[in-house]
Amino acid sequence: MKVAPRRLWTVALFLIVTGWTASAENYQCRSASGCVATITKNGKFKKVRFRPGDVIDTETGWVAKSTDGWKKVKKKSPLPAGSR
Amino acid sequence: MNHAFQPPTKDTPPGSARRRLSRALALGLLPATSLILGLVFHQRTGPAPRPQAPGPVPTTADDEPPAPGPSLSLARRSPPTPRVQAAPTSTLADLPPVSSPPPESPSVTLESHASSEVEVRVLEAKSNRPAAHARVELRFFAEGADFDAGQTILRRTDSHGFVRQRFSPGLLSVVAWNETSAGGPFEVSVGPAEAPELEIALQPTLPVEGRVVDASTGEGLGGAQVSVWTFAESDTVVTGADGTFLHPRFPTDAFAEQLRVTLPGFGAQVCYLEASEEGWSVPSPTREDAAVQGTGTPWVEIALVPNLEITGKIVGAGGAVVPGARIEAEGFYYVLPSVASRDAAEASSSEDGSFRLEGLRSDIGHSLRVRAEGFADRVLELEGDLDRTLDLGRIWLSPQALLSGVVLDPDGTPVEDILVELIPRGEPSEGIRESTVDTGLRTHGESFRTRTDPAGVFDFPGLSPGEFSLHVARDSESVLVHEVSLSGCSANDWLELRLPPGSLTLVGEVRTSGAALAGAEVIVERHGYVGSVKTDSEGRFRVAGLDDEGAYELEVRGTCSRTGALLTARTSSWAHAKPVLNLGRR
Repeated sequence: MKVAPRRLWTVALFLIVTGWTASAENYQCRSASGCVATITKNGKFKKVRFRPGDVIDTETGWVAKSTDGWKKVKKKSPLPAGSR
Repeated sequence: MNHAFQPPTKDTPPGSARRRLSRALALGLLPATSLILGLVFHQRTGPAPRPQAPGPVPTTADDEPPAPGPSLSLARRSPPTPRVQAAPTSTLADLPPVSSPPPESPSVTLESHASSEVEVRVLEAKSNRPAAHARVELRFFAEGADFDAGQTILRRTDSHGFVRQRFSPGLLSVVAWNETSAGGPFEVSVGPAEAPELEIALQPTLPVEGRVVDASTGEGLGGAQVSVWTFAESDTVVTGADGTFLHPRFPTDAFAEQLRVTLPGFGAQVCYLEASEEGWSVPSPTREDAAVQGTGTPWVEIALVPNLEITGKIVGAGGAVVPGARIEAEGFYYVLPSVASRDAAEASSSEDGSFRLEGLRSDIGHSLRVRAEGFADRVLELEGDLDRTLDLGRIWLSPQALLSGVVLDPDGTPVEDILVELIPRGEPSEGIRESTVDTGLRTHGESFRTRTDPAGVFDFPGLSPGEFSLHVARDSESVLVHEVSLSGCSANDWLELRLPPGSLTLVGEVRTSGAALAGAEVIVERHGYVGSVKTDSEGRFRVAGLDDEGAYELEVRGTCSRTGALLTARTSSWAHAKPVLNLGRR
């Protein structure tokens, strides 16, 4: 089966975009008493406490679970333009 | 100095992944390895989030087989007998000279008609003896309260190491400390039938030294308050005239904590610190700068930027002032390249509609959300440009649109206490400016959330016309999605939503001494809160919108009508099971 190079590039681009963006997610601590996220540092598993309202990026190694109070931040807020 | 903090393998500012991707693509970096990575990530993480193209935006803010049905016994929980009589609060030697602990809270009671006494016992770490006169911070969050709506109470233990305090149902976070040791935080649920008892063993802490300076001049700032606020809010020390401080209590059981500094006239600053007996590290919030690290007592230098003061006046149709409106500002700044802290303030408009917000950072942007009864929520975006004052003039509010409805299960029975979330379908604004300090993140207006009442009814007030996706969800999973269009002409829309036939309904019964137990509360959880319902006059309950992907945890709270005794019990059940919960059959 022959695949045109242009189509291959399109597929590659799509996969890279979907792969990269799917792994980049921000989570906000919505638990009133704060949240715990974990990270591996120097091969050791570490727990770190966060304040309510804190946002972390899980692409960088943080592990945030919804059962620990983390909620995915879906997007930036829709805002009206020209407010000032 | 070495780079000490490298937890992130790829430091990514929150919210900036797409920007970085665009840059990479623009440079033509599309190696074969990226293709492989892309394939792997795609398979491991599922579909990508919705694309965020620029465009106009709405104005409103925003295979194990199931187990057979269990039979659960309810057990009587006896109220605990106080072990020690509370002693009057006595004096305590002041904390180290730089410390300035806030005044102790009076012995207040955060209780309603149903309250429980929480008992905290604090012990010394090495001797395991009662820690007399230790400070105890109790942060209480009423059921259903937002995460920034907590109440903080500061108490001292009595001579036997006890603190007792009454609370209405909610969530409690407790920490304790004395001169050079600390313990916690511990989290406990307070229920009408529960009288939690906590025991906190104090562990030795590490001192932290540092200096607070003015970011623009480098001069030391006296009078600033410094706390390890991921541990305790109330345990603050005050900087001397030259801006230096010594905080004697950095918990050693934690890998890292956040220091927070506040000073009137300046915006708050948060600094991430790792410290142990082996050494310490202060990672930079930016990728470009190196971490500062060393051994011995950690040294932290924290720069404050001027405070931003926002004023304005809230008006409605015809320019009529709107008193009592709620104004909330929110922005996010980097603490680490992968962690953002929230900078927030809120106020209410006065009788003449005016308001004033203070204490915000002036070097980052904020979203400003205005909410007032009878009006549509309004969200404004404010750029951060180091102006110390910002007068927004008149902020106009439009009349609200209302969206109400009822959620029915596949049989047509109203569904109680199910989550209903309304998400604006507009694209996000691309006008939010990011910087090395400002993440550009916003959460205002991301969605509107509510839960159905016992009749299955939900209400969304404060809406503006626009396109929305309405999600009915259990356990973070949407059971039903419905597209909604609110026009300017329809001020009040009503929806009747029926859950799909594939969703499951857990039907059960609570009995006591063979008779039905009416009015018992059944709380359902699985990976978090799912919902709660009450039993009817025949002791039956229904929880709709479930699935068979795992068993649910059920907690039952009831009252014996004859003796008034409080009864609680827990069990697990699959959604299709029909549990009968019999009192007294243990």
